[in-house]
Amino acid sequence: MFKNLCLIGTPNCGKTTLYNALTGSFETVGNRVGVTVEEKSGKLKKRPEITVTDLPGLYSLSADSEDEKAVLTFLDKKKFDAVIYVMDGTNPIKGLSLLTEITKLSVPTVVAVNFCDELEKSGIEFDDKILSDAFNVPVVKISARKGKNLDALISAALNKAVPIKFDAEKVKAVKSAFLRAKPVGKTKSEILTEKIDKVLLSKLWGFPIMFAVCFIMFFLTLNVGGRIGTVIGGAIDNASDKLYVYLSGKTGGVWFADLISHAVVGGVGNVLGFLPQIIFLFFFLTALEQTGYTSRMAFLTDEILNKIGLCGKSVFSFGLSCGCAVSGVSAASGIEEKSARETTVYLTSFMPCGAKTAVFSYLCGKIFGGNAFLAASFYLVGIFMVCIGGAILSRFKRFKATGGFVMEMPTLRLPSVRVLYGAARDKTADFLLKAGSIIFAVSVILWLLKNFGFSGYTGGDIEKSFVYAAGNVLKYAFYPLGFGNWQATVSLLSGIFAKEAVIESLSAVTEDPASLFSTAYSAYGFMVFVLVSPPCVAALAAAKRELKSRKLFWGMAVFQFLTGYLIALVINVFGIIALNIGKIAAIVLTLTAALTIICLKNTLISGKCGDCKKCRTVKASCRRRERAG
Amino acid sequence: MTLFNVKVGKKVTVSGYTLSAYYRKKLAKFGITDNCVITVLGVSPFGGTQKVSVNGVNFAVGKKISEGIIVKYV
Repeated sequence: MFKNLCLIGTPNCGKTTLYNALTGSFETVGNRVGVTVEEKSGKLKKRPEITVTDLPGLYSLSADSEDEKAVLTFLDKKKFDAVIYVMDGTNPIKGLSLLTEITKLSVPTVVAVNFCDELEKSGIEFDDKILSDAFNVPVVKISARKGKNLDALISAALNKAVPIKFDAEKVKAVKSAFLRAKPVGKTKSEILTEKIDKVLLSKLWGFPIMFAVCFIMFFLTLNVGGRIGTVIGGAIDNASDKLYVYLSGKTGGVWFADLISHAVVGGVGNVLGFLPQIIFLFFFLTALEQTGYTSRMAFLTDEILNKIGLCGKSVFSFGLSCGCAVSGVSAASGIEEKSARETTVYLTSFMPCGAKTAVFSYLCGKIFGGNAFLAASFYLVGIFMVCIGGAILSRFKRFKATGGFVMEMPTLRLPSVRVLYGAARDKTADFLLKAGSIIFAVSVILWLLKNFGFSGYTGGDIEKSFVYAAGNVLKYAFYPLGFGNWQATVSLLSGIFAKEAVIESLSAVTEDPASLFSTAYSAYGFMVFVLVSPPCVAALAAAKRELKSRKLFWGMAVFQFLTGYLIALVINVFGIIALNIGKIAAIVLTLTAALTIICLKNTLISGKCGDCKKCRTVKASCRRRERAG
Repeated sequence: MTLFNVKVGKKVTVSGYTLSAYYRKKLAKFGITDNCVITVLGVSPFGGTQKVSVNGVNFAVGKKISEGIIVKYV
């Protein structure tokens, strides 16, 4: 009897849904190509002695993208006894070619034909007998989503699976039979998808619908999620004050009461107040992925993204980055083109993740009167920064996209309640774990650094503390940005561990965050710096894995830091001019400076202003001509 | 005529390529091979990316790829 099963199939055929149903897991499922980027293993629910491994989808055994290469590496190691080949029953032709190639593995195989619930609903009969005759393996019709016939599948996989021996003539006959059946045998979902796509992908409605969907998603997250978070945050603040009074009375030790109530409960609690926003965000992102709409977003944006060195599939990374930068960076492994993949990794953390959104909400609440629109504006800033960053990187040969975009467009489906619940549950657990570990550690360390100095316990005199000494040295770097003080510097440093730690640090070192900034513009610049500068260590580690090059990784970190610094500097200078001379003058000066830079760039490249349209790269010959005059 | 020039709703067959071997192999994985029938179902708002159907499976194909597939009307 086989003890190790693995799930193989083309992308988006239901492997992960089947894996979740068999093992009781809640792995991420999305209705698009490239959701699963690495192997995952789990125990069969009803037979824990049997292991099932879910693999990323692939179209053939010759790999293009990193996730396809990961599958081939797994298959080479032969750490499995039998294969469950998952086939999309609504598009069986898609999986025939890979099924033929699986023969090379010479491993016992059983074919699972998925989505049979949809076929039944549409009154379409799937001829499993001709498939079974052609490949000489058992074929089982299942519905992974509804959990139908899974026992029969496992029984066939464990007891009846045999290596494939296909008959080429019979396979040709199978393909012809499926091709003949396809136009008539379209499911209701496919017919409905074609009608809906006429609107979703149209010239008139395509982009407005996309912007409306994104706006609704982020507005509900920040507004509704934000209001619930404010209530939770207020309750935790009250609880930490009462705890302080109780502990200082009980123990008599003020410093102990301060550590537990304000540093631990208050500090961690500040971050927990943003949990509703995180849950809302992941709920909406998962729902969007489940429906298949993200593939439509990739279709709409591919041509624009090409102009800045990216491709349509980069949209998946940017979307996921709005939840967590680690997921966004990991999703880049599904992009086959190396230059587009590297550019995506460089730029994906410019999108505000859940943690950064929490920082913006906190500061907008403390400085800008809780303006939800201002907090939401950072999504637009993120998109703007991706465009600017992409335009800069695409000047370099390494990051130039070649534009070879081909992607399957899946049928639109309703989100699964089970998967949505699983996503919200997993993200809550991740967030609580992070709050309970990294944020807790940062809270305690910060409290110690704030209350102890070179002369020991400071008794509340902050200017004698370690944190003041460290921040005082590094603050000079941030003077030009309008927040050259030790408090803002220390909070930025703590953001390296987790961006939520910026909130905890700011609340630990000051009662009034607004006092840390010379103007409202420099406060906004601070938030833009948090947005654009290098992300947390977890996202940096994911980026290093994807880039596979130390030089590229450090290049990315320096690029992000310098971009964040320059933008924050521009915002601060704009603010100084606006406040001293006037807003109109500031706008005019900024536009003049931008146009001057663009014209200078054209002159440097081609020697003449206006010739830049034909010349897309900085050629050595152009520079030599320019120097020769 | 290339696939890029085909209007929405029309059916064509593939008669050749001007693409590199890398892209031809990639297209073959998706079932886009010589003499296969492609139906153009839609085009992006900027007119570059096309939505096509090959053997009942729908794909998005970028401009650079579709300009490299030579086709003729069925």
